[in-house]
Amino acid sequence: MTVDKNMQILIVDDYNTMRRIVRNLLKQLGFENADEAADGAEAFEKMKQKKYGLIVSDWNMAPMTGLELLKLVRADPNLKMTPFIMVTAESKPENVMIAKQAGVSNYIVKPFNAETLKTKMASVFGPF
Amino acid sequence: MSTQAKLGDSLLKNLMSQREQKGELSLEDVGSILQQVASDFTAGVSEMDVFLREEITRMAEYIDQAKKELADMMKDGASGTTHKVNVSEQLDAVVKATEHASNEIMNVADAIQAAAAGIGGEKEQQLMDAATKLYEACSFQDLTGQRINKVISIITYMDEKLHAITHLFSKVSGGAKGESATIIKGKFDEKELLNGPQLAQPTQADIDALFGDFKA
Repeated sequence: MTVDKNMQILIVDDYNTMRRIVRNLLKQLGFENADEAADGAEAFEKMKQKKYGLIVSDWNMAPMTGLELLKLVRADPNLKMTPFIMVTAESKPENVMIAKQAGVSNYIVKPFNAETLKTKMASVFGPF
Repeated sequence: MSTQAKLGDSLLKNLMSQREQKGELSLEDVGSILQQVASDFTAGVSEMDVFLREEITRMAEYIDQAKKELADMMKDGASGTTHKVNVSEQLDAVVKATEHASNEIMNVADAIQAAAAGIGGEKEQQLMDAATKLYEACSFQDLTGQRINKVISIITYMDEKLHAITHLFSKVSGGAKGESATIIKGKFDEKELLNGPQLAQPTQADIDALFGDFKA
């Protein structure tokens, strides 16, 4: 899989600060087309209306968590192939395994830096 | 072991011990042993009971005192009116303050990036990298918020439990002490204790090891 730097990316996090941080880090990596959603439900609605090349989502959100969003995405025939990176402080091994079994593409532990984000995106799309 | 079982066990041991020493026990001997065991046992329970009551009441009073001190800190300057203190609101205010500070820092980072754009060469890259590091550092705010929410859950839980126990004590003893003074809103869900970042959490390397087969 090669990376398209013009692809649309959806950032999902209930903290405005984190959305802004992820957006900026993506920009530094050359990805300027990013939309935002404050929870899983809002993200899923946006995904039904627009095609995204990558979802970068937090886990702990209400009313719909990142894990619930992941499961919805993987169960939807039109969305199931969308790369999905979980970015979260929820790093208990059992939870990581749950996300892995649900089909997450990769997993980033907060706090993180641009280099980690780049490495994890490269593991999904190939080096860039 | 239940209180009744402990009492029976102690009585049996005393009876066997005395029988080994004396061979046979008279009714007076048995009566004396019974009296001794009951006396020892009651004294032990009573001391423990009093100790626990005092400790729990002290903890509840400590929390109430802390709330009163917080309320004093929040008195209106002009009217001197004391507000009720809601611990959750106090900690929420901390989260909002850190969020505001993070946004200010990120605004500065944006300004640096905008100023650096077009300079060219190594200087531009250095400034861009520095601004990116400012952004990265701001992620503390998200973790701070999650940790504070975890603390709110624990405080709420302890406050509710302590006041429930002291309230029960006051009902049993008929005293006025220990009436619930809780002013923290909302019901506690024990699951909330499990949420949020752990202090000794696995590192990215630990998680990568779990994801061993996720190479591109």
